Amino acid sequence: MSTATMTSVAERQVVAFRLGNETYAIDISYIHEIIRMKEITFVPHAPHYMRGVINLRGRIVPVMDLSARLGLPAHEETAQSRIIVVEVHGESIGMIVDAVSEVLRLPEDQIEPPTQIAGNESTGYISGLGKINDRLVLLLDVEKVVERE
Amino acid sequence: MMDTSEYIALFLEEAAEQINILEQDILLLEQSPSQEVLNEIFRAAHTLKGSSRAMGFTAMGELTHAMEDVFDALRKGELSVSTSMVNRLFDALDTLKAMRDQIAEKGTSDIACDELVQSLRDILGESPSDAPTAVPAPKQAEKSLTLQEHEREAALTALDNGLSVYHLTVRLAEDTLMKSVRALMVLQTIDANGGAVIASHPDEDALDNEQFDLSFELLVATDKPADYLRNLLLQISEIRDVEVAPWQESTTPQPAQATTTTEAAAPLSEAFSAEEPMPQPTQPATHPAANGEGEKTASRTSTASQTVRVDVARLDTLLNLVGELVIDRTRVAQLGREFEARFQHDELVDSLLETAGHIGRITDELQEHIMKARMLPIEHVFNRFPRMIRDLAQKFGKEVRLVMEGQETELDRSVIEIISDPLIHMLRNSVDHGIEPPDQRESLGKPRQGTIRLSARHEENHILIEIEDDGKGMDPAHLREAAVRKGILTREAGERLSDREALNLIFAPGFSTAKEVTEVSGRGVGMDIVRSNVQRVGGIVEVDSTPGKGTRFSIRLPLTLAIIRALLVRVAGQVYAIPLSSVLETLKIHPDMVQFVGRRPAIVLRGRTLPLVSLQAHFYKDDFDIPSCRAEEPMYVVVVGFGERQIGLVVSHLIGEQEIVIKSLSRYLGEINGVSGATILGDGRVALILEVADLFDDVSACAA
Repeated sequence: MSTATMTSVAERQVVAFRLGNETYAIDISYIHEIIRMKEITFVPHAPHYMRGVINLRGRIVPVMDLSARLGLPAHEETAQSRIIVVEVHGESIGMIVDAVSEVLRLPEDQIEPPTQIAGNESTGYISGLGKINDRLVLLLDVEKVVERE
Repeated sequence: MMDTSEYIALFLEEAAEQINILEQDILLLEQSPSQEVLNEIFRAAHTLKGSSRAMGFTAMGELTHAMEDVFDALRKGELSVSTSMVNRLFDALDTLKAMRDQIAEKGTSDIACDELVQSLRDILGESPSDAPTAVPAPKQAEKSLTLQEHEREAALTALDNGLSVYHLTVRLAEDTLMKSVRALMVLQTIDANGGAVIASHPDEDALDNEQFDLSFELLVATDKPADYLRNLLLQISEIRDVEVAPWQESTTPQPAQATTTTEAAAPLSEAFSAEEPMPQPTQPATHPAANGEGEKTASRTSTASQTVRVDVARLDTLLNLVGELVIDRTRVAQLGREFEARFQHDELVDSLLETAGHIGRITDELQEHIMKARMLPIEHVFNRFPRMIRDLAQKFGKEVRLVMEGQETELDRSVIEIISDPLIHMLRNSVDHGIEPPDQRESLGKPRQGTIRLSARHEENHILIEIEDDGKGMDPAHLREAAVRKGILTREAGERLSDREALNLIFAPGFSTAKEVTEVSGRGVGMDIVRSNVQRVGGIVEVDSTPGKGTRFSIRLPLTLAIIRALLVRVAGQVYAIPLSSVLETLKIHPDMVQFVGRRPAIVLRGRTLPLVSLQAHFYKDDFDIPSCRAEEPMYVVVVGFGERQIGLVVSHLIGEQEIVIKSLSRYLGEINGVSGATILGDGRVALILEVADLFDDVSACAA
């Protein structure tokens, strides 16, 4: 959600994270919490991008491999890897990302529609392209990402 | 007009209750009319009439009134019970139900009942003249409670039975808006607390119609002490005062006793008039301590009713929390053992173990009590069956007696919701296909009336529900033939089936033995759905039948769906939980024992072929892992049953039995074949719970 600021241009607050070489971002209102990697119980016969389930303080929360979901090449987990737990329509789901960088404020006028992005598989899950200084930030359409295929 | 919305929920609930009582009692009436039943039925109709009138649902009141008149005539012996009368009463009852449901939905009802009312009046041979207005008016003139002979007898009997009989004088606040509602609430409070109103002045009709001033008198039999009763009634708002005096045989009919109570009341009214200028006259003033029990006045708010209504969601949350506790208890116990192994009998370790043990016991108890709080007697399901059986029997021209046992058996409400439809289906089958027509039964030397016995009872960790009829039973040979004819089995496969297995054919999809399709059952869907419903909640349904003698269905259900015992196993480094309800045994076998039937692995167990399913192969799409079988290591097999069928699940290791709390998998994962949910283990890791039924699909091709 955009918080009221003194500037005349509305801003969007997002959590930025790294996936491969690119920076993605999720609207902060979806974020439930960000946790370190923990043991994931594999769930057979689940969609290919689902890694399994974790125990989040007594709740069973499914975790997806966001790279796999977006059709990006697979890569190693590192000490920086995190699980971003988002809440969509009252249900939690975790997403594995390479590293969480920061909370950004994106002015609305710096966000372009996704049609501007060169076509790759992830395009369908991108709601916009943000620019902050020289950096490009891909805004993730969270509801689309968590929707089951 | 006063806002009645705060009463409507109460009214609806009570209406449902009274309708239920009426339904059961009308059935009883038909079978074995007794004065006791008639009294109860009359009371129920009366209460319903009163409350619906008080709430302004006049059509409902009118209809109930017409029913009540019929019951009254029956009670007085002016009429006798006939089938057509019972049918009409049931029609009226169904209309009442419909009205009630409509009120629940829309707050009002526009269902017409004039014809029904007329048809009930016809029973009485009455003209359509409006009866109710004529009756109560004169009685108002009477000054105080006088007893009819039968009322006096009832009071004496109550005294003989060790109950107390009190003469109550209830006074309402002066500006009471709905006097009849208050009067009704007084009567119901007494009723709800095990009291019985023997007589009232003015009579209950007058109370219903607000034909009284600000006070009325009751004669009540109860096992509660006078103060208790009084305090209960004082909790009803707008009740200004309640006077309770013990009743003795010699006293009431004579005006003398009535006068004494009135006299005693006099100072009270004075006390009240003194208080009248108080700023909040609508608030019933604290009742004065004039009866010499001053200290008791404070207890007015402290005496609460014995039960509270709790939202189911809240109980679910509690059960979830207890589930967490169960997990932690296991974890704490485990830690304790680890400490013990490391530090032997250190004082602190001993003390930790002791505490862990205590927490364990408390948790068990807590769990047990919360589970109990979620339990409902199976009566909630059984209640509607007598009526259903009666109607069905009538429709099919059969004579059927339904005997129910163990209605008080309690089980989890989630199980109750699921079990209802299967039971209805099986009972319908029994009436339709099981019980023979009366003439046929007679020629077979059986009583004309068939009997269906429906029973429920606890058995170990399960509930056992049985439906047994003394009808024509099922012939295994006949079933085999039908299955072959319908293409469910090949002739050879049919011949291989034992009689018991042949009986189980009725659970096969698409199987129905009915020669003709009837309206009620026999559409070819049915028993397979019954079985899958029962199995969905971890239950088992079995059938046993003797041709010519009858059929018995047994349904075994778990007590709850939230916490189950499970066998933990390891597959490919991950822990899985298999519900113990489907585990028959575990085997440790040598790989040499594995044979292949086609490409399917199997072992021979006690002369029977047991197909094997490798969980690793099922879940990880590996081939059946024979190379590792060839190694000299033993294999672990968990034999699970589903209906009559059995398969062996090959696992890497057996871990042990444990209580687990079932949690659902996220909907983001969708339906997972072979997995019904997940649970959290003592070490905090997640284990998946197997859905055994799914695994049978894997081998279904070779089973038939």
